[in-house]
Amino acid sequence: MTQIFLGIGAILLLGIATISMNRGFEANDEVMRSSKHAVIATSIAASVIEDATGRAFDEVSIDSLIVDPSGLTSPGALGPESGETAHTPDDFDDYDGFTRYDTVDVGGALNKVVFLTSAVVTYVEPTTPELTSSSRTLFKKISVTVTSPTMKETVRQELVFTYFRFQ
Amino acid sequence: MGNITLLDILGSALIAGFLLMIISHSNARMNETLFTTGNDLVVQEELVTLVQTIEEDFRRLGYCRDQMKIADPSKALLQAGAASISFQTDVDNDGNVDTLSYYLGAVADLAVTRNPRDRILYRKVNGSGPMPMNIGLTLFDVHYFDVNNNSIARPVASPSAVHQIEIDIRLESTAPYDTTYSFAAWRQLRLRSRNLTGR
Repeated sequence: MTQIFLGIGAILLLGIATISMNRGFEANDEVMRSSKHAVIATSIAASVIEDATGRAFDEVSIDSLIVDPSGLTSPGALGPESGETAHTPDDFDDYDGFTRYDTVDVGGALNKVVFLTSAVVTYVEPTTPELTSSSRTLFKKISVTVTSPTMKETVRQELVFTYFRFQ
Repeated sequence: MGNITLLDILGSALIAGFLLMIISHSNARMNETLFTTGNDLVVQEELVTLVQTIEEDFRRLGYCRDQMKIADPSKALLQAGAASISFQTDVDNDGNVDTLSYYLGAVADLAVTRNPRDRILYRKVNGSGPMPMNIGLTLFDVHYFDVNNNSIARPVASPSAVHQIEIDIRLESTAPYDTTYSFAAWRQLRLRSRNLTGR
């Protein structure tokens, strides 16, 4: 009888070790899945930034040359102008307030994964690009954030866009 | 006494069976994790390397160090297909115009791998032989958009109308674990070459 109890004790110990090992495997799977999805999230964020940098610097610079920052859109009015949306942008700061859901086929058991992309555009000073400027400058920063329920971390990319024009 | 011994033997056999089953399952799971983790890592590294090269090349679409040699960048895109693209650029930044092409090879080119879907992406500069970029590519899908963000049917009849390019890439491992292939995907929604729409 003693042997049976010893055997049951051995099974319990092995079971505990196995559960612990399985948890390790699951954690590993989750990290790998999360990193895969982070690659996709990075590409989505890069795409939004790429799209934004292809636009005019400001609403007023679409058709005319900027010579004085005071004529630019005020910091409080960044975002789509009247009649526009963040999905029909014609200038860089129209991406302020941008949100979009992307459903990407990632294969595997999860198949479709939803990514939420949001963006914020602010004025910055060239010497302190990490801080939002309360005045108009020739530098605007876009911060794009991509999240997904399947990712452990949030992907965030930023880019400072400078006004330039070739004569 | 005899019954207790028999019970001990049966109990031991049962416990041994459980132990063997647990160890066997754990071993299988460990093998799967090791295999898929290694495959995932290789695929992700391949994808990042491939995307870096593609992004660098596509960003230079229409670029030439001697800008007079591509006087009209809107004509730099020479051919625009669903899985192939050809354009003028300055690959080595020497001031001479190069023709750079990307195209997807046939599935038969990679018959040596166990993955039935993977292909080789070729990169060709001017008249040189095509250079295989990687193995394990299962999707290289290029979409084109005009100035109003409208999708253009492929192959594009008038490449000068293209203002944005979207590239979807997917890589899979060349060998599966059981029947599952590791994969990594890149979804570059919009790649806008600054040289394509004018300087």
